[in-house]
Amino acid sequence: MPLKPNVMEDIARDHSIPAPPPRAKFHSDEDTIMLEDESGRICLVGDRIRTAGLVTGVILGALGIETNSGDFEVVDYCFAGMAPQETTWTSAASGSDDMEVDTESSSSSQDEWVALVSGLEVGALSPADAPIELLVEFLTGELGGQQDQASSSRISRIIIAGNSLAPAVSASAATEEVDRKPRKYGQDHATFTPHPTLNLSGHLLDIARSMPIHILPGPTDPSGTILPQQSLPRAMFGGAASYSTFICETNPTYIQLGPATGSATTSAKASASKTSASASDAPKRTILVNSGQPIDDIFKYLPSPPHDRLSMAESTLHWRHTAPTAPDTLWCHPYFTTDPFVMTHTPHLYAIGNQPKFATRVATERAKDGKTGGTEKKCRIVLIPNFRESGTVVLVNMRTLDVKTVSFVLQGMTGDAKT
Amino acid sequence: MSKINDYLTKQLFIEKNVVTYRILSRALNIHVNEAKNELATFFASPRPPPEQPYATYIISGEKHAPARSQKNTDTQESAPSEADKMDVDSQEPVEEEEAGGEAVHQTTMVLVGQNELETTRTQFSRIYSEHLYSLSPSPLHDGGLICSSSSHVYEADTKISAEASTLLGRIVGSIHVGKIIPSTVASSSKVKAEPARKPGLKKEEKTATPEPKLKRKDTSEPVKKEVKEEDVPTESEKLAQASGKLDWSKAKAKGTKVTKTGKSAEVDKAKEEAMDTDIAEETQKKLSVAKGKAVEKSGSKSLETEQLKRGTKRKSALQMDSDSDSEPKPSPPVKAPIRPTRGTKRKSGVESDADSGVESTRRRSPAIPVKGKGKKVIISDDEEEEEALIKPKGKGKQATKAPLKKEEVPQSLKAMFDIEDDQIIQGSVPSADKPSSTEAESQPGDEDVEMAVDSDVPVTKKAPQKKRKEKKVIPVGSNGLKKKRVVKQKMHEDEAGYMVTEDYSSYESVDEEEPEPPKARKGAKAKKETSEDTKSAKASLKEPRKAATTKSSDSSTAKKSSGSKLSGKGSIQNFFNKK
Repeated sequence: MPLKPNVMEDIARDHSIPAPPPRAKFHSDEDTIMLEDESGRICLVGDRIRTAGLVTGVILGALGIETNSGDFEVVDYCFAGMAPQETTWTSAASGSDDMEVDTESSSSSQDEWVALVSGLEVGALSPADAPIELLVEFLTGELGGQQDQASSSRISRIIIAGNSLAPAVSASAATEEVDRKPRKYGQDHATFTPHPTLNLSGHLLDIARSMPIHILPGPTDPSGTILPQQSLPRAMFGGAASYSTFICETNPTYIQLGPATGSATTSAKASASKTSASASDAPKRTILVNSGQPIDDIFKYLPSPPHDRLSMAESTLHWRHTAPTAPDTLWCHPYFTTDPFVMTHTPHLYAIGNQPKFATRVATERAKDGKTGGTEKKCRIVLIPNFRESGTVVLVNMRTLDVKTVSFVLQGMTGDAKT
Repeated sequence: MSKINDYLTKQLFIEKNVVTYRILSRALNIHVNEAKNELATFFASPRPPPEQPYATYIISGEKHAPARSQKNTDTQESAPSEADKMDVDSQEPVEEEEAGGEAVHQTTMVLVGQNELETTRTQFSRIYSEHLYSLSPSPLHDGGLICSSSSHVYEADTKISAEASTLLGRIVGSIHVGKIIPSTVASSSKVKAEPARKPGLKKEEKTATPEPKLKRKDTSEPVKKEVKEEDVPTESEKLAQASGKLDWSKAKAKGTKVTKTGKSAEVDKAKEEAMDTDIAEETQKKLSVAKGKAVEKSGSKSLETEQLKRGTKRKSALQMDSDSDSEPKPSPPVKAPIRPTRGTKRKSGVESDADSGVESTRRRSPAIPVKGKGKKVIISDDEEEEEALIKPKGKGKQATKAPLKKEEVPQSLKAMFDIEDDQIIQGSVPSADKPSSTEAESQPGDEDVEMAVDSDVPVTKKAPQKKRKEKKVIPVGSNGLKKKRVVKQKMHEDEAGYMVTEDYSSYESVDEEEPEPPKARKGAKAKKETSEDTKSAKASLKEPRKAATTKSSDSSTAKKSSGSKLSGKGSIQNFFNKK
């Protein structure tokens, strides 16, 4: 791919002039697809493969024939397919019946919902302080009427998928911006403390009193840039850190919910943290969350009109690899023996944070006929929108894996999301 | 009524603050729904013009779907099913529409001023609720101003207990660790456990939620909240059980919960006591690891890392004390004054500390008090668990305490793992003579390590040896590489303003692939380390140590001097004690 950032070009370029800005998309008409293994590489051609939406690092099997020019014309290809799933959905056969007018009065009133949010970006130059405040009040069950409070009460945990803090800017630049912002009106800064981490930890403490929090680092958070990002230090969060239900996760991470199990294991690097749900008949659920860097990177490879982010996310499930472009264009830790981004099990909920828009879909894979162990695998993919821009939090029902969103907007006043 | 009126008048018109329902509920200790009603009544009551507040409402409901509607409308919600999140003023190019996405139920909550209330209402296809959010002296143009009272809300929330919060209408999760560790350390001030912090699960359920009246209500089901509260406690109960590592280490308040070690009752009791905060971190870790064996090793490790993290906050305090520790060993009297102060802070630990301080001129406590303290082990274990939450005051103090703990630890471990008593006791006898090192960073030279629990090392060979010749457990760093003692220099300013250079020994990761040569390691030596993997390292080193000890026993005397020199490499203390 000629437009992909190339280290040789970077070295060879004229350093006296500033570097060109990074491109948003790498794809071009001159891209070629190469299939490579230890023995060599071969170029894949053919319409079938060109529309496949491949990125660097995908493992596939190609069926085809060699052309005269030495290329391989692909007739068909296949991927690893979705990984085995530990437990199936207790699929809501009567799913539609559950969505009554007064939702909570039906049998689904026992359901637990998990809130997903990302991109709070506390401390940004145009922060969404008021929507965050509304979000916190919503989660603690204070906002809204009886019905709202009842629905808030069903939220059992919140997962913050990255970008809780905006990228730090130098103090002088920040103050200039602050002066220029129209909504100052000469008053003190609207937030109760100018320090972003204090601000954030105040909000988190508020939420932590009500429900467990899982917080992942994101691209703008003070954690490493290399995937897997290690968890944010608990000490940063002051009061909230004293809660055992406040869990700092790595990015990406698997979160396993289920009825109380005997023990919990936490491994140092990217993987599993087990927590428990309340109802003993609630099925176990696995949630794979990341802060969006893998999908954002894949997005640069593919032209967007035919390929959208949701289909890219679904493809990663079929490729069984969350971040195929690592370490090529996505920085990741060099692993020698194992690749932690390989999905050994398909999660029930695949949540990707910091996306420009909300979207959700269920990715399914039918069981192969005749295979004894084959069951249908289903995974709910959720693209979590950036909260600062959209003011939206996503709620996922843990039993039926239904999704709903709640948005917080301001009307007729500044300081809204999207500003 | 009048109290509310007074409060509101004062806040709005005298202090010109924005009053949200939340701050009103905290200030007047009423349920949030009541607060909303009160705001409404205040707003509705006639007031002289200069004192007319401006109301901001929050409307929750479903908005009309903007132009584009999505294909699948098969959900049976009464509300019109809406497309995927639409940006009305969508900046993104069309190609980024998630065309394959599903339609989901969208709820919107809009904060709107009274002027635009009507127009905003029309945007909604269905309104769930609408209530007054805040009153302000003048029209609110900046949404961020509603956050200005947040700090007061948070202050109020920290003061009240969890149950009280539920009375105010918030939903409270039932897991807490309890103490909120402030950023600055003052060990004695933190000692008191906050009983208020203990969530009362059962009480929450019994809390009656007052019947709120709202402007518009679609359903009235206060039952729902109780359902939630019931679920939350059970959920969190199970959560506490499931997350084993979190459970027992921070096992507070949940006396009803079964912790792994089942010491919750003792934990609570121990909490009540004034506890010393300068628990030896190493021993904490040892304890954690020991208990972690019942749980999960990795779980305990992460706990220890948390402990470590907590410990690292007080570097400044540590340094001070660590300096005092790095003084040569033959000055234990220096530590004597420290001990009594420490003793005062810690109830059950006091006697043991005093004993150890008094009896041994070295820093190791003799065997007899150790044995005698066998009973106290459990209590102090709990205390140490609790102290895990409290930042240790100074590592220097840990030094003298650590040996005590370390000898208590094997006692408890022994009890747990049925290791022969004889060996342990005998092992601790020689250790009585030998000072054992405790600290990771600030240990001077060659501190001997106390005998490990799983010491199959023949004790007899130790007796004739000098104290130092205990087994050396190679501390393993967090990255899995072994650590080696190196001498580092540290310069600091003296009281007189002079720059003083000090040598101190610390451990550094060494990328060693091959096992240490037995000579250098002098397998018989057990080094009391302070890294988190004490137990695991010891366990893993059990075999090599065993082999090494047999070797060393043959030539114990010959190796004595060489070993000691090597073991304390780079440490000045070694030199002094070699006589």
